[in-house]
Amino acid sequence: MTRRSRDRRPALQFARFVGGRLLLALIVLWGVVTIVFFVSRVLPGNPVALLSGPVANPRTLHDTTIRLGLDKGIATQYRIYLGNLVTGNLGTSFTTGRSVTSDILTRLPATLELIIPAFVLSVLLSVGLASAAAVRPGRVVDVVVRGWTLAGVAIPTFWLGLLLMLLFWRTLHVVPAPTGRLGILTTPPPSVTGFYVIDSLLAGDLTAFRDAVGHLILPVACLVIVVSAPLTRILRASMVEVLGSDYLLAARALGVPARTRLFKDALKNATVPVLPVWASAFGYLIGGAVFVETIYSWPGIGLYAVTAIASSDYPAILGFVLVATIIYLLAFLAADVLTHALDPRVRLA
Amino acid sequence: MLQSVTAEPSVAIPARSRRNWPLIAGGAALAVLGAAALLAPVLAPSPTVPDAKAVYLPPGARHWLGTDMYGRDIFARVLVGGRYDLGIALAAVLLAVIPGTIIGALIGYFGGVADTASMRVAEIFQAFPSLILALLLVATLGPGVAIIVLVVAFINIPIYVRLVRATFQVERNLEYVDAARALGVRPLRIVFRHILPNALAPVVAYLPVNAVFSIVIAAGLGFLGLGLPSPTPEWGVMIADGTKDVISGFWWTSFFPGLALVVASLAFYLIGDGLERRRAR
Repeated sequence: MTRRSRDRRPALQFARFVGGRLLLALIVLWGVVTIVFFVSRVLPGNPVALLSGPVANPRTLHDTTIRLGLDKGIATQYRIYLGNLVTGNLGTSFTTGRSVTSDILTRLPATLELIIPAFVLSVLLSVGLASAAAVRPGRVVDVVVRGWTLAGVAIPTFWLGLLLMLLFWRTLHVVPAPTGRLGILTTPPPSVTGFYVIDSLLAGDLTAFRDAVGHLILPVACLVIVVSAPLTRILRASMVEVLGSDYLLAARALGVPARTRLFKDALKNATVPVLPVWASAFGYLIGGAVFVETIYSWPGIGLYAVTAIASSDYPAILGFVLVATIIYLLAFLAADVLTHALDPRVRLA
Repeated sequence: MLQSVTAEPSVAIPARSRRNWPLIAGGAALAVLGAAALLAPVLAPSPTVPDAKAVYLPPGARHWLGTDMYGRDIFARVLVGGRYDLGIALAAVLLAVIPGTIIGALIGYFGGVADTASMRVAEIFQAFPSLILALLLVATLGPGVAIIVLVVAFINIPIYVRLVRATFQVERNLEYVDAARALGVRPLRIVFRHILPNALAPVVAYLPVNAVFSIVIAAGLGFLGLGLPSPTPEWGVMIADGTKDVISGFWWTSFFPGLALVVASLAFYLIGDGLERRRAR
């Protein structure tokens, strides 16, 4: 292969790539923000009433109109809206009476404590199941794994959450009651990271730690079952394709042990094309978090959104939509950068 | 006139493998659910009439799937629920596939500014997680069957546009299209009469998968309180209403509507699998 001049400075080239992707993500973010603006101001429906809340009196309606410039032209409204977003102002929630930004920031750690472990476990589970299935396509393990993925895709998250609760809490009594992040008698640990599992360890409070982990089990398991199913299905297909390729046949002929072939040679190449799918898993996780948090009274941003829906708290709904979409965009950005780091073909292109 | 040539299987397939079991099983399950939804008034008591003497009865001989907190029959409610959930899913898929295919065909064949612009717009809409976009739109537009159908259809459209556009970008450079052009066939006729029949296979294969997605999103909106108002026997609403019952131990009020949802999803998946199998022959 010919060596190109830019190959000699990989660090600079990488920085340029990441910069480009960051810019692209910002453009998409601007598009997203603009769509949210148009949906909230232009679609049929009364923006003044929506943004003033269900119990607004004429005075509040008037205040909202002046504050957001709703009596002005669409361009002025857009300028005010963008200005507010850039300064992190998402408006005021009618139900909590506080700024939507601080409401969401205080609830975000609870949601992340659910979806980060769920993501890691889903990826690990999907790698294990997909490898086991792809090694012997059509055999018992493969059929079982395929049945599992089909069930995981067809079962809705909100129903699965109820089933798990019924079985493991109500019937078998192996997990604590669905009272949120901790039992009602447990005091939350002093907040350092916002993750109760970490904070309780930092405070040396083992009772709180055990309680926090116990409350995580069912909601995380529910998300893992739902999210690992599509990940397994796609990774299995990718693995079957890679395992049938010539270079692995050559490796076998050269006497490379099966374990090395599977986990070093095949898995790495099978993973690169599914990285965007791993990013899209964050879409399922955020959607799933909305359901799971509702069922298990988990005080994260998903439950915040559902409460907002029930009380027609429109600024809170818009704030949740923006934050959820930003998390999703960040996941895709990370997948892009990882693909770049793992796949030399993308680097040279 | 130049026509597409359909590939016929050249080798005889043994009779045993010719039976397409996934397609038969999926189709049968869906037919049963659909017929049950249509015949609900004949098969079961009224789904909305409360009965104070039959509150929270467990599944038994008189009420096969039990009753809820108002003494309403769960079996009847699950059957009627199929009208909402299956109806919304089918309507949302139909309302997406037709415009999606037409847009995809036109921008795939003609390209140009319209193509670039619509792809950029689609990309930005797909930057939202689907459920979150549905939530935003329904929260703004308000509840109602028509709104839910339109919102789910709107979210479905980009996939059909992409599928059809990709096929057209390949097909438009093939010889039969060149030949039609040389014969002076009008461009729109080439698009819809000559190329479109060859571009429909991936669309048809995607329909059942999309039906599963639509039914789950619609029921999810119902569960979140964005769908139909609470007494409506829609499966998602019924599961949401049954959530507090699970805590008190009355599992049947949410279990059976969820089971119906899973059976419907699996039926659509099996049909998709069967169609894929037929295509692979």
